[in-house]
Amino acid sequence: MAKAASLMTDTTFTSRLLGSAWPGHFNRPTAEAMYENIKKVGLPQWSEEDQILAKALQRELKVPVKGLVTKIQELRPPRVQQEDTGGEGQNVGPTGGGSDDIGDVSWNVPTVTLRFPSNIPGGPGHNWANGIAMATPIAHKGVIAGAKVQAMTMLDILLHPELVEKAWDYFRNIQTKDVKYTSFLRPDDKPAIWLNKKTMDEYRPRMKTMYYDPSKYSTYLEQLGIKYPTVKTADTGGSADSKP
Amino acid sequence: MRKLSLAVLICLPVAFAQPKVAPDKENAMKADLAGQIDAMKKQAQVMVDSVFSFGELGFQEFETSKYLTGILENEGFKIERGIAGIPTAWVASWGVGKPVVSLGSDIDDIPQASQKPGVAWHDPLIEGAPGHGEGHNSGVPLNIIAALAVKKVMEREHLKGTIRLWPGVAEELVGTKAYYVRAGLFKDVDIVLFTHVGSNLGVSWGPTTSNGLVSIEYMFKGESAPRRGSAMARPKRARRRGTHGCGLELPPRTYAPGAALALCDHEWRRPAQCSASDCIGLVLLP
Repeated sequence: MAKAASLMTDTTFTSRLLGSAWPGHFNRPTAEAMYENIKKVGLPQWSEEDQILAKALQRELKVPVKGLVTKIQELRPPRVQQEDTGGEGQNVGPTGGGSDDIGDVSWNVPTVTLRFPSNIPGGPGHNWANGIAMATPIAHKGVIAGAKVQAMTMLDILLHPELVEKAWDYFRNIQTKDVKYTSFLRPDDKPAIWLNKKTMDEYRPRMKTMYYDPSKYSTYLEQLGIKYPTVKTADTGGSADSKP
Repeated sequence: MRKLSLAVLICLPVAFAQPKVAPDKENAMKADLAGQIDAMKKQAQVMVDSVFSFGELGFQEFETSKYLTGILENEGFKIERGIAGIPTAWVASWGVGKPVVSLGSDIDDIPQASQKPGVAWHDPLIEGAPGHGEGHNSGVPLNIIAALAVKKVMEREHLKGTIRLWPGVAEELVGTKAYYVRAGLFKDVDIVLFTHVGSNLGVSWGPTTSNGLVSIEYMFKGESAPRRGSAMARPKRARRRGTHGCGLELPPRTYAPGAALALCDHEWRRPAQCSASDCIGLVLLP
């Protein structure tokens, strides 16, 4: 396409690669082992304040007002539409989800991605709205639940060599039986480490003045002087029964 | 063929020697992990909040990486920085031998997504600044908490194995993991446990919806169209034929939408003011 544009406009061109990603493929035996730990750990206990914030944001975004999740997601086989998980790339095959370069890793070693509940359902993703929960008790509780699952699955791998064998058997004999990884990188491609420097140079001095100082403040919310949750007056009475 | 098969068999993962643990003890070890992690709530909150406040875009995660590697270094992890030629990339390792469990999660954030936490409407901390609008402030703290808990159990129970942690630098640009692969970051890894924020606790297997993607910047060198018209129409044909009506009559002062301009020996003129021999091409303005 670039060559055609060049011919049309009587120009010459050069190119450089900025990024690349393979579609992902996650490992079945490892996911099944991890799911057993997910069932053991379960979801965090959300407070009334957590739910009020979640529902207020959902009202603001005009999405179904369901609050935070209270039931863990089923482990489902691939190519079945799943519920909104607040992130991209876990649904129905490479048919339109966002790209994620964990895909490259997943074609080189058995890989799974644990999703943990630190965010509010219904957010658009890659947006200010998906930052609202991320330094609140919702994020903190989600991280603790996720860390437990991650740690227990690590222990499974340490204690059960047969899990590693099954993971590699799936990787070799099912996942990569017909599809072999070839990097999109050309030999001379280099990471685009210059990207975003200008933007960070512009904003970093002001951002530095707002870095969290845990020696002075219990939480970042406290440092910022934000009452938790801060919602519009009409949202303060939100209850678990609120309807969209 | 037989030799090849034998070679492949030898390359299969070798079962690692680990003391056999009874199911009851394994359950107790998992309960111990959960208890330890509950006891690290404060540490998790500080890490999550700190990285949120750093709010760095892809390839510029200097504060984030310095902070996270500092924590891991203090906990006895060996840090290798500048992985794959990426200044903000690193690998933290602890332990010996197999299995090698590799924990990854992204650390970069989103342009113009600055947002006050805990406030249920759009209210930037700094107008126009980047912010963690994809929650990448939480995954590596999660992995660190998990790794510290498992490390304690490994030390106490004399379990063999290696824990590795690494950050997804510039994930929003799909900018680094293919380079990690090329640099051999996963060549001796048994299993990667990646993690990403969501709104539920879950895991899946098989192919994902993620599309393959290649992001390429093309730089064109040539003469640019100086006004709001698009690229010059058929310049070579126009020059060769020299008949593209540069003598076309247009109403006066018609550099307005719908008018045409002639590229006349490297200058833009009204077509009527350009002789056919100088006329390189015509552009119809939108």
